[in-house]
Amino acid sequence: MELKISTENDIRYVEVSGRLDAVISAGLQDKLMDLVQAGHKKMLVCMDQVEYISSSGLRAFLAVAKKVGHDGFIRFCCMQPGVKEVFTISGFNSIFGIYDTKEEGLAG
Amino acid sequence: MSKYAITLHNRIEELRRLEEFVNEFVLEKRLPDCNLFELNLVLEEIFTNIVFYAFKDGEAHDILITIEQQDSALCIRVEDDGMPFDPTLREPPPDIDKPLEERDIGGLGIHLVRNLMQEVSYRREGDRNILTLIRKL
Repeated sequence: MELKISTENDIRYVEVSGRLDAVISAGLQDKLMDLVQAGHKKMLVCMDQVEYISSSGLRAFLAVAKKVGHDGFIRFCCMQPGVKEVFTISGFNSIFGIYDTKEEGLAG
Repeated sequence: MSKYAITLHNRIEELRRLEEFVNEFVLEKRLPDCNLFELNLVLEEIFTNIVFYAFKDGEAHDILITIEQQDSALCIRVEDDGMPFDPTLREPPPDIDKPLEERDIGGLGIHLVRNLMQEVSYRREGDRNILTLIRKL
């Protein structure tokens, strides 16, 4: 799993790549929590290079979102169909903003 | 050969071997990519559940997984000698309509398994949990 982080306006644009399975997701959660701890509570996560996610990945995002609370947001863009289906089955599409493109995600 | 089997140890690192096993099966059977994702997901959820919750003795245990293609369905069987656990009894399903603050972190894995498989059945045989899943192709 790799993270590439840049800043767009005051939003952290986080490009994730790799498999978000039970072995890898803990590392993702730690890195995103570091961002939140550093005060960056507005995040757009680009899922373009994530071909797989299990409940462990969902739990990582949920934990980060809870930490962010009402002070910011965590949004997603560019999801592959399989990953999107996992979000939908889990009801995560109703608690997270999911956008087709980076531009839409930044606009919110 | 139509039946594929692998024995994994109850360590989370074994997920890599499970992934290779599933990839090989899907490639061999020439199944579409969506089956690769779903099979990986379902088996990961069941495997990690067993690794994290089935054993309290700190000892090494085997988890036996078989996949068999029967006509237009995949029949998956997962066997372990951990504590009795029937995932089909887990009620209610996660609170998928609740707002973020009230969402619980647990239960999602089983919820995904039940949604992606057409049949999930459990039985206890002696000291073994036997979980059988059917995925129509």
